[in-house]
Amino acid sequence: MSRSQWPTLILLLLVAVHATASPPRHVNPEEVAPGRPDPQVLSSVYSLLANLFSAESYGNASQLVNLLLNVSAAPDMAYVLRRFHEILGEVNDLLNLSRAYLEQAKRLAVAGRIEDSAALLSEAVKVLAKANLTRADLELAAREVQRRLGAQPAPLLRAVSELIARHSSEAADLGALGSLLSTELTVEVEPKSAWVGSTVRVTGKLTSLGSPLSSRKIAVAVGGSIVGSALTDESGSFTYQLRLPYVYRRSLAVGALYLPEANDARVYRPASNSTEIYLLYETPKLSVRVQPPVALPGDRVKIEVFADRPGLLVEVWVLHTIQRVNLKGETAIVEVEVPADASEGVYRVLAASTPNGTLGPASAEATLTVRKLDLKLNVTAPPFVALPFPARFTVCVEGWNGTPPNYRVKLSLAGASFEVESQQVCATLEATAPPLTPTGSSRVEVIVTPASSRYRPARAEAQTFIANLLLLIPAVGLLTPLVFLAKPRNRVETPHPSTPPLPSEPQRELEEPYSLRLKSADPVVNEYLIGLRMVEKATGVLLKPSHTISEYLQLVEPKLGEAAKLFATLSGLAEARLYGGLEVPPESAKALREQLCKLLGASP
Amino acid sequence: MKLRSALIPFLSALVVLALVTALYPPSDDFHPLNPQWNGMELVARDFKAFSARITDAYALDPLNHVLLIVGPSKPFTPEDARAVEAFLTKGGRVIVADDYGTANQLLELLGAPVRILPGVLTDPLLNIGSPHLPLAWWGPRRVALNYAAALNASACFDCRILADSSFFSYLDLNVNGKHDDGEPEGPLPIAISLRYGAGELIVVSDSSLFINSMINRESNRAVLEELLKGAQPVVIVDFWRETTFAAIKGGLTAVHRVLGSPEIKYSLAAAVFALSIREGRRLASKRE
Repeated sequence: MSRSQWPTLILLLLVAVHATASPPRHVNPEEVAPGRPDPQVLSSVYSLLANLFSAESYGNASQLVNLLLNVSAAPDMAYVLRRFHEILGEVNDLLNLSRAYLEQAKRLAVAGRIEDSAALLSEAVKVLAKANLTRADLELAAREVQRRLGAQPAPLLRAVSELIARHSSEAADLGALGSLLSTELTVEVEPKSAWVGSTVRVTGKLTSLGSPLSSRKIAVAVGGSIVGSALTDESGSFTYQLRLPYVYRRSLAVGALYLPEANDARVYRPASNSTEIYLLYETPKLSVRVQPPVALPGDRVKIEVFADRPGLLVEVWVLHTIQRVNLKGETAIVEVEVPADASEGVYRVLAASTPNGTLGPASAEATLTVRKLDLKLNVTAPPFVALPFPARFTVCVEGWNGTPPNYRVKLSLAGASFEVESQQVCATLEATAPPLTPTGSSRVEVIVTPASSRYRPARAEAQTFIANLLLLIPAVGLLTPLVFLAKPRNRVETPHPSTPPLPSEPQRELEEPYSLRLKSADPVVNEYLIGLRMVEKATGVLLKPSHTISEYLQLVEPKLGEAAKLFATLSGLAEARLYGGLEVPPESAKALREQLCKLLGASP
Repeated sequence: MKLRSALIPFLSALVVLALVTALYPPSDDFHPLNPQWNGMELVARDFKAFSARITDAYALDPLNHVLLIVGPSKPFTPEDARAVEAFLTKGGRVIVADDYGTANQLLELLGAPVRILPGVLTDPLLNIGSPHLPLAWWGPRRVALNYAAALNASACFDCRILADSSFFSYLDLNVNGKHDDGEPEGPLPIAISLRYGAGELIVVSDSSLFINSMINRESNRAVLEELLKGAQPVVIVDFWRETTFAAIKGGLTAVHRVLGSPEIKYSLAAAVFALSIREGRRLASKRE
């Protein structure tokens, strides 16, 4: 593979790795453009809104309109929708206001405050006029919604129109009330205070502009509910015997109501009045005590209830249960077991007596504290853990009385967890940290979960030092080259006996002999260099930069045979010339070199 | 000679690949290092969230950390549930955000009476551009959801509903994009809170509430701030199906961790030093 192909391979590998990434499972909201709201859904919401308008449920209609103001749509449609919904909100508010004015005007009219009623009625009519005007805008906006989106707001428009018509009609009816004659109604109760369940007399008088109204029906109401009726006599007075209900409160409202019927409805206004009666009843004294006030899950506790009179029926609420008990004497005891799964905390214990006749209700409270016992933990961790060998940890558990309950121990060491169940005081775990845990200090966490719900789980920590021997294996592998490299370098450089002579090494053939790079202007030295190259050719021993002339001579002498003497003389002349500065005739050197040539059979 | 000339480009390619893989961010859903739209890099950066294994829950301080189990797609074991339970029992807060229902297994193991319903929460009117990106109300705040589900908390009497969908929403059970008879109608609960021991379990039926493209929508960020209450979020990574790229990245991280141990680190340095010396000598001898 050529070098230019490697970048392509890298690129392909990268593409392959990234292409395998699974597609995301959610959508990118940036890539989503707001669309058109579903016209069918909008139509059904408008139908629902129409129903709310028809039922005059203004609060719910207002909430729905507020939601509609947030409808998501493309900007141009969003404007159309928003405009329509804003007008709907305005119409809803106006109709809500007109309803409030109308109701208040009616109440004032019934109370005989005709002028105040007329003022509110005038406000209601003004609001209705505004609503009527807004309806025109609403219809325009609705038409646009229908044209652009295809939604059907027609039922909504119908409902609004009907509602405006209904309010207008009520306002007209109320306006007619102004011509009716006012009525006055009084009411009294005798006695002013009475025992619950007893009978009292309710009396009163109905008049119109000072004249008594006879044979008119007066409804009597207690606490807002009509309980009976009476007819007025010639003097306009009425009497009603009222049996007081068994209601245990301080007072009760007793009212009388005149609602004109038949022809009276076109002549007289309605009238009403009320008074108050104080109620009498006995309240027993109750007290409650919890024994013991602090308990463990599974314990039984006694709830003692005391009363100042016998025969009471008492309900006891304790730990999410209700116990009913009839007090034969003045004391009753209820026994309950604290559930095994009860959480720790303070629980309210309530005793309440059931009312009976003139005996009213009573109650008393106490508290029950549920707690759990602590476990004492003692973790023994070895100071030193050698991986991959397992280490032994001992967890000793002590209960409140020294006897431990059955329990489960969970030990976490460097991310690995180990569990054991035990019934003994001490549990032993053999734990091994994950194989790639780095050497160093490590935290050991122990959680003990008792089988008994009477104890709360306990937690403890310890420290140990992990020495990971597994990580030493690659370290040894990496350091091995160092051992080999530490040996002397001549191990590499000393030629092996079987190693072929240097000239046969192709590497050497390629290299230029050092002697070829040597040049000299001195004719004697030059003759030596020519001779040297011939000797190198003949012996195969190359001159190295580190060699001196003598050193090289020593190396080649044994290989030169007869020529050794000639080369020794030539070397001596070169040395004398180079180092001694002696005068040497160049002809002598040349003659020696020529003889050497002949002997070695080589050409210069 | 041939082996050596092939080995160098191969090793170079391997190093380049490792470097690119290490530097290139992952594209996995919810990954705290993923800066793309589906990652949670913004949560990691702005809330100092970090990744952890479920077993790390035993060692985490429940007062200063909140566990985030987001978008699980691998099954939960009783061992996993015990780790979560231990964290909750110690007073910790755990947020389980899932829209596929995988977390129902965990909820069942924990005995929490809440379930994530199947289907896609759809709101044809109140949404951020698509019916499958509905708006919901987290108390007074408005949050944006992304392919959410809904919760069934009808059996949970102690549950506090934190957020619910709008009146117009429905759960599209058959995912046909329209409301059919029998499909639950809004408002539907999408987040609940449940006391668990001394801790609090929060279940949200949308896993993508806090991904990069959603965290700054509507009040999503404010809701996360409210849930964390100043604690540091811990994103649990055990329950995602890793892509090959993420697996390789994880492998590189493991290799980096092993290489970082003192034994390997110093041995490697010594070996490199020794090899440099040998190479130096070889070159010197070649020059002679």
